[in-house]
Amino acid sequence: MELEWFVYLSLILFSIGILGVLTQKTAIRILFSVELILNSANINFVAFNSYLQSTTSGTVIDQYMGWVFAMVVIALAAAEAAVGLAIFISLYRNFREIVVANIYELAESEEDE
Amino acid sequence: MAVDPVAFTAFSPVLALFAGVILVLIADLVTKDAASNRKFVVSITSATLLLAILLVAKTNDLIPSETVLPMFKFGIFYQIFSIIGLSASILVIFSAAYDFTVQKDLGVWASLLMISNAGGIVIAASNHLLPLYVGFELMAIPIYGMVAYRKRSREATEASVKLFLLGAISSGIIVYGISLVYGATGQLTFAALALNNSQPLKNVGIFLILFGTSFKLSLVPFHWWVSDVYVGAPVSMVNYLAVASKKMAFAFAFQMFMISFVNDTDVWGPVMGLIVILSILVGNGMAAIQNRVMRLIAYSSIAHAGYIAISLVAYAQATGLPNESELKALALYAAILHIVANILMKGTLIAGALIVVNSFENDHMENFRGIYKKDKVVGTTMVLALFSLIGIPPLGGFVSKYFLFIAVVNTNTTLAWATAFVFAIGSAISVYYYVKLARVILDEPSNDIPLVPATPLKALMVLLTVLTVFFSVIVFFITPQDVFSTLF
Repeated sequence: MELEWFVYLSLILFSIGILGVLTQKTAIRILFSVELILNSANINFVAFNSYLQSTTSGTVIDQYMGWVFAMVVIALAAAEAAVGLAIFISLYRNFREIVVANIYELAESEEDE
Repeated sequence: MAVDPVAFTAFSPVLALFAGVILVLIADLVTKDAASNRKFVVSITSATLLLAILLVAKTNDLIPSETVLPMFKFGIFYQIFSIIGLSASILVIFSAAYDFTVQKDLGVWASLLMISNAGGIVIAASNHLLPLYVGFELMAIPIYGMVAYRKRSREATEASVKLFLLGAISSGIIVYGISLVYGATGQLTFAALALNNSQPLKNVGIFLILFGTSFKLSLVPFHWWVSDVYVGAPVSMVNYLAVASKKMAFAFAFQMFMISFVNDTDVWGPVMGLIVILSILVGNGMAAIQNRVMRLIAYSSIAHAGYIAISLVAYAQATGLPNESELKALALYAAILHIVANILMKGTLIAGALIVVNSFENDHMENFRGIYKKDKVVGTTMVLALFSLIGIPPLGGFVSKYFLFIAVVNTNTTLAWATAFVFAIGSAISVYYYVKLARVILDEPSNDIPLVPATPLKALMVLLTVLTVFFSVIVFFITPQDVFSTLF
């Protein structure tokens, strides 16, 4: 397979993720979109690594750096999702909804001047 | 694989922090009431942070060879930024003792604080994009939990959701940028990235990393979360965000742009210049029309992030000039000076705001009226901090702003002069709102609600103010060349 197909795939995923972040109104859906962005980066890392492997020299870690980075990103995404979901539960308990578009108590146009 | 003793010693500050994490969690279990819990947790946390500072200072004569820890570099950059982050966190834990007073659960918050600090140390020690990114996330993820720490508070939860979503998006953008840079160069160590030539794919990656970093540094146009988070979060958490974690994020930006993308300055330099100009104008302009002090502090911290980022502009513009290395040294030196001065003056201001917010339950500017008449110590230190933020000589803010101005003007390019011009205008606008707040503090009190007693915090504010006043002495002992020659 050509490298460029993988890069196009990850670019499409990244664009969908950014579009989702900008248009979605539910906190969970925004988190999904962020996961799409992170996974598009992972596809890039693994694809580039397979392509570059023949040219890179150095230790084993250097040769598989893209894969190592992808693993680390997966672990960090899991940690981020764990903290994020806990925050969303706290949000639901306080506001009885998780539609972030409806939550604007801190907005600047406050009447208590 | 056996653990190398050199690696063990090199990471001793991080290990000390994690030992402290376990100790404070135990302290939560064994203490009987909230007061003794606070005493225990604050003493354990500050002792751990002090120990970590000592261990960081001692790693000077221990530079591991390339084969043991190829991804890390324990030089003076690591020492300066680790010590800055750790000592700012000591200030934060003292102010937190006045913020989380209801339950005996300060230990969990303090443990998150120390984990976040470990992330800051990893950022400062990195010599490779992998540990740099891991350290960045290790610093950022605990912060989301720390902001949402008051579970029942609607404001804190809303602030935390905003911070979390924007932080997650920015880290996603950064990691996609890193993947493009990896694809373009096949390398991720700073030294290899610095040698690589510019090419389209790498440039796109650099832009994505720049935008993601601007979120974290709260630079315009990625700043809109700042004011909401600062109003909604607990005040001591604001202290952490503005004083400690943002300085670690600057360490990340310096590692990224000054050290690894050092030969791509013509790519990120102009964009950074634009971002800095916008940050200074928008930050100062919006701060001038605020009625709530935390919002004023939020916008003024956007402006000050812009001031610190001027050093990046100066660094980029210095490329190719005959006295390039001198100018670059001056830029980084000015940035470090302003970071330290900013910790001193903003730390004092937010600690004073914490005392007022605890006494009045909110942060409207009217509540600050007559603070000086009610409590001479708090009033004097806050007014001095405000004057230092304006940049009145001989206070610390003046010295650091002077060096930033010199650093950017000496490069003598169009963008540099534009930035310096906006810097001067922004400082002039800032006089208006800082003096407005100072006048309110020095005015006759409009009510007779007393301030809460907070002797240790007041002592800390006095210490910070003394350091602010005598800050300029530091300039006589450390020159730009001292910092720079051992850095790269």
